[in-house]
Amino acid sequence: MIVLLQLFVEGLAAGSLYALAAVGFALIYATTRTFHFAHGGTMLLAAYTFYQTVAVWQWPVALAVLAALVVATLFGVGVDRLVYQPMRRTDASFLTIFAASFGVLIVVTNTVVLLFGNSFYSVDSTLSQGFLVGPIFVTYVNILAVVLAVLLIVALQLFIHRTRTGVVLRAMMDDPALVGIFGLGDRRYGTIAFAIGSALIVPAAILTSYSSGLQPSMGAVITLLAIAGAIVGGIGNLWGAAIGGLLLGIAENLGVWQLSSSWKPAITFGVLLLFLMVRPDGLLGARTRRS
Amino acid sequence: MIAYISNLMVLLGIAVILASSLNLMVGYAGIFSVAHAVFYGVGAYTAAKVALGTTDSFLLATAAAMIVSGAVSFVLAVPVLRVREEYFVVASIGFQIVASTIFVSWGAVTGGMGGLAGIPPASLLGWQMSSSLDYMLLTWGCVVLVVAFIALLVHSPFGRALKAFRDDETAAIALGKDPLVLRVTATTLSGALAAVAGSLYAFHVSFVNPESFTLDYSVLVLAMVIIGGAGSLAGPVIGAVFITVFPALLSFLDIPTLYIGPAEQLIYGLAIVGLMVFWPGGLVSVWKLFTPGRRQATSEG
Repeated sequence: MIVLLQLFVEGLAAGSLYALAAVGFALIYATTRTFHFAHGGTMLLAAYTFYQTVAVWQWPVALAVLAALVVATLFGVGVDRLVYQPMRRTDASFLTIFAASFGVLIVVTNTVVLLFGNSFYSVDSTLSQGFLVGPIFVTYVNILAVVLAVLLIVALQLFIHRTRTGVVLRAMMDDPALVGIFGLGDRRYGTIAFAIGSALIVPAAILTSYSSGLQPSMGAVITLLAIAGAIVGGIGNLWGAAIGGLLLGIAENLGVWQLSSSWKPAITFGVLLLFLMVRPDGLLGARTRRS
Repeated sequence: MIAYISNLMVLLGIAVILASSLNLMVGYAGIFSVAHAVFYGVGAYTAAKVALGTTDSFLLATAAAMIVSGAVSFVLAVPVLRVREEYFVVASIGFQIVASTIFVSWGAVTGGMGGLAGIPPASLLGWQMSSSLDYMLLTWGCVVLVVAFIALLVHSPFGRALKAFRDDETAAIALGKDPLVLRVTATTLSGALAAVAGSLYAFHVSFVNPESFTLDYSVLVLAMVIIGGAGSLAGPVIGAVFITVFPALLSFLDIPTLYIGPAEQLIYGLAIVGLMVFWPGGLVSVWKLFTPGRRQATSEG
């Protein structure tokens, strides 16, 4: 029982980070209808930038976080401007855009391997320590993960409901036709979505460097988790993506109770498959529209 | 020397079969999959089991491999394709990762990390294979059969219906075609054909282990299809040649062994991005720019 509770706590923390990744992906998809498969690459770049600045170059943490944010946002915006937008202008098919996104992820992953090697890094800090709450051990990273995720996701919701720019983004999510109009006229809003979506994944990247460490394969794995979370939650719905990510995190970690941790992707896949069979619209999704 | 070339030709032939079968899904049905190595692997393991336990007949082993792979393909396809084919790629990544874990963990069947070794040489209707040259002939015989089959399929009403869906879904539905049946069939056939490559591999190398059937290899096969040109018959062949030969070219540059794999993948990734932005038709479409000839009625995606 205690083991389950402990695993649940781990799951909450991991799920919070997956939620950030999923919400970022969902925001990008819902506003620009781009299947940003390279989203995992954003996390990779953020994590390794953070590692390089904080652990190798010994920068102060705040500066390292800033560096990671800058790199991630520039990357997301860059991929949109340099890859997706030119393709949308030539009316490329969904699959062609997806293939390009996939190519970008391959490029990023292998660049990281060439620069850092395939081995596993981690960042040490007092954050990895924690304290006991009754019989459960809670690390500061766990707490930070949940708190940050809640804060950022709520902030995002406020943004899209209360600010002018945010309302435009929400309009784009509700009416795909507007995407086309904005795509031709004012591409700024799509870029803003990419910037926000990419920035959201940075806390996940940083906290993961403290807790599970860094590895180049992270890119593909987090892409899977982000998209699966967004699908399970109901693609196009930001709250749904958050819940989907959280759900996957909890399910993965509870699964460790019976299976070894190498089966975690199997659990994610299983949950995804289950939803596709039973409730393909996801938890909070709208009727599946053939777009 | 002959052995070296024959060996390379076998691997090339296997790559062509894998790329062509994946192209059936990606290029013609419009379904992206990063799990092709799973069907390759399932085919290889099945053929290995048959050869180790029952008979060294290539035909029987391959038939068994095709059936099992096709079945696995079918089981994956039905629930996922029922919803949205865009989700298939996500499901396929998960599927590939899970399959890799199963290949490693299910020791009783797959032999775990060590895999299955000591696979006897294949025999085909009395002809006992022994040299690399034999396997080269066998492999390319299979390549011809597989590509011919795919060509027939693509030009059949089934193939035309698939392409109709790929090009304009609403119109195809209006014509009364059933998308699910078409797509599931394409996916199942794709998996079954990949098993042929698996069987060839198992007999040729005479052992199978999980390392050959990873996500990395699935990505490589997908790269062959995309770079060569999805949705055309020649595309996957060109892509397979390019990706099999390219590492040999890279070896002329003095790159440390540790960097070769990632460097290759990096270049493929860049090639994919560059091609998708400028020439989505892949190398085949670039080639066509230089050889103005018969304009075909069927267009590629």
